[in-house]
Amino acid sequence: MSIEADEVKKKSNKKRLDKFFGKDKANAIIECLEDCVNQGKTGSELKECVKECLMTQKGFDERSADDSVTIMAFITVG
Amino acid sequence: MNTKILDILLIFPSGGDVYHTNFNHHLGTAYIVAYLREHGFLTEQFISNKPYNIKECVKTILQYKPKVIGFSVYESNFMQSVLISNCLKESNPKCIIIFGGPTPTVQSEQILKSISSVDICVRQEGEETILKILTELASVNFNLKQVDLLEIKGITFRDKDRIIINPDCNVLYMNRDIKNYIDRYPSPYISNIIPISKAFPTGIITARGCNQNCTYCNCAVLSKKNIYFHSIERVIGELSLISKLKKFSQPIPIYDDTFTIIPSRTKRICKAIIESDIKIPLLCITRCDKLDEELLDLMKLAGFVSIGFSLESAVPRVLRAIGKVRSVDVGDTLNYEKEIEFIQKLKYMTHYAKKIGMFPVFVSIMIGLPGETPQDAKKTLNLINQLEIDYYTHNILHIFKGTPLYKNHRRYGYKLTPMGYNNQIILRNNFPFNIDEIGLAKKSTKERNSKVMDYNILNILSLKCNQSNNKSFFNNIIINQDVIEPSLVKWMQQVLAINGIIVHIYSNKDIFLKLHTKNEMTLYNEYSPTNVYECYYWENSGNIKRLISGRMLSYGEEAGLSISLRNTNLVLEEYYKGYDTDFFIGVDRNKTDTDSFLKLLHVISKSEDSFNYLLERNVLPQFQSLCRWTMNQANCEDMETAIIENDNTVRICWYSEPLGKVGMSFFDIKRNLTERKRNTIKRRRCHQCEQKNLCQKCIFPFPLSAKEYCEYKITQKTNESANLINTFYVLKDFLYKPINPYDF
Repeated sequence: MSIEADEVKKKSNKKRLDKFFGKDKANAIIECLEDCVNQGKTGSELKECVKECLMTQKGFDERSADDSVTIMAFITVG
Repeated sequence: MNTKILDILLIFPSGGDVYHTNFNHHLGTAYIVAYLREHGFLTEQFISNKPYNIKECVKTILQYKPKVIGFSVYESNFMQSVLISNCLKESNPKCIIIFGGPTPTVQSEQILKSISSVDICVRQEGEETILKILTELASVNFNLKQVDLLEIKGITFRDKDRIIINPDCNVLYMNRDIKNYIDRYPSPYISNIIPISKAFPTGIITARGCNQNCTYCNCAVLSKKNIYFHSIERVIGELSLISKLKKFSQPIPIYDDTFTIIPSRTKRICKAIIESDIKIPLLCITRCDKLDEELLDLMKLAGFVSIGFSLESAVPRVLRAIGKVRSVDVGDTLNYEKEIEFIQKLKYMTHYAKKIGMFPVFVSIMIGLPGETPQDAKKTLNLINQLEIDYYTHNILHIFKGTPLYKNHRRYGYKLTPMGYNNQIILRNNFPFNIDEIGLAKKSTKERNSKVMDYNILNILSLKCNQSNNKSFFNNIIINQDVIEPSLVKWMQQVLAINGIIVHIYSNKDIFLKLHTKNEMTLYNEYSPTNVYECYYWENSGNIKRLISGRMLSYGEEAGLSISLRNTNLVLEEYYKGYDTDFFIGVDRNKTDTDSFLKLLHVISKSEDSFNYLLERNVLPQFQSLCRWTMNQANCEDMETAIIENDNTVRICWYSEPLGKVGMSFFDIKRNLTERKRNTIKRRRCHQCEQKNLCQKCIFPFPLSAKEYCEYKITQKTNESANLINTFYVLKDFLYKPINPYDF
């Protein structure tokens, strides 16, 4: 089995991003990624760059994985 | 960095999931900081997003030059707190160490008996007691020996070989008749201890304590069944300040044990929020029997976008046994009328919350409750499947010391055993029935969290590098041996990041089942620097070797992944055919594998637009040998992950020879690696090569010989395409790591 397996099997990166985030957000993610690659960023710097770009240029909120798991931990304990 | 010498530094080590390698804001700790500052003490909370190992963490903490260090200790961060405390005391024996929080409140004597670095345990609410300790210490120039600790209520301390338990402080109880007594404790937000930008996920409280009768819960135990309220003006003042943030990525949690415990008060808060025109998305968890449609409508108007209800069980008999709805001692114990009503109310209130547009609406349950049978647990899951909720949390009962259930646990057939001789604080619970047989209902948070974890593991097994920069410890350790010896845990205390990830790979399912519990107990007994311990076992199926997540045995197929390792050549064939290869790892076992991978790099580089070429195709599998074709993106440079083999040897690459042994320092292993690299470069005469600045100079290029590797690197330009593949794993991150919890 795989993550979100059946629904997204055999679909491209782009289609999967569209499905998860909607077309607009998916396009924003891809644009930021391409920008950062063109700036020569790699590894952890690349990820930071994409996040920064999404927040500053594309109006994304800082919805980080850290936050999501923090609240999940809260809910679990509660 | 504060250059002043601090009177006290408070620390909340986060306790153990994969995202928490740092030291976050903590509401309870911030309350104490605010109160101590108000009384003139130089106080800080240690906040840091950096990953540390124990030694580096202690080095940073000591830069604050604190005279006293206080820890907020829960069971979840107990091991990390002890390791940091021990190392602090070793580095600076004069430093006074205090443990406070829920675990020291109920286990202060045991902590002081077994952890010699801890000087004092503070029980229950910390503000007044720590203020008293600091005041006394300050009067004798922080010389602990000169303080008459017997005079300080609410503490347990060591007097030579004796442990002295002073009477409780009880300050809140004694002042219970003073309205809103806890308003005397300054708001951590208004005092600027917690920046409003951190209101999510730090949250607020409008009241402390719980007066309910749940036998498994320690909230009522800690507050002795009392609730102490902030005034509505204080709540509104805090929310008004937070509302200045204007933009909220997530709802702000209200962490009261039961926010709607007095519905009329909740209504007043909601009305005040509306009248003050405060616009904040809010979230709370509450009891379904403490609110109705009218209150929920009002809460929605006041900004509550999300609500959670605690159900625990859908079986009236079980609810009666745990005192969820009413005290177990009250009324006819065989009459379940009120419990049936409670379940009906939960069904209705979840439906109603969804009807008025709340999102997410969630429910928490617990498996393994007193008197529960496997059939009862399945009934609870059946109800969950019928509810109109967005998700549910699937908890397993943990019996805390001090709770009514702890006192009666034997009556219900539980067997509690300490994790070991050295760690009597954390208890392992053996249930009367096999809780692993129960499985999960739909929409479990565990399912999604497990998948996120498995995705991380996939990256670790592929030796991906994420956080470089001259570190002096590993972020992850892969244990490729069946038994965890105490010496391995001791070594991990030195070389592994606090809350780093341990991936344990067992030889097969039988060995996993036989040794897992013992290994886990060794980790707790010897004090692992992390609770993140993920187990997998090998399963062979034809030419595919699969790593199966141990979680799948507990929670069924939905709670884990099987990660398939297969020849790169065969994985790529599937990729080209458009099959799903997300959870495959391509392994180079022969030259055909290497050739097929280089062909992929060639195809990417020759395509008109390489970025779009990869974008329009399937998500790529992982590759164990990708790093050798990149530049500066290899584990042999960043040393993020170590692999421990059966003979206790340490490797940095799946293809490498041992570079050290368990017990060696991180720097000795690094030195061996550097030496090895230097010799390889010299032997291959890399300095004369025209590709010298573009080559990873892989020292373990199996299945290629060194000569073949050099030839490939000279004739084929691999860096750009290989780096681009790495880039596309960022897209994979976006796909599999939820950036919004409500995607759960």
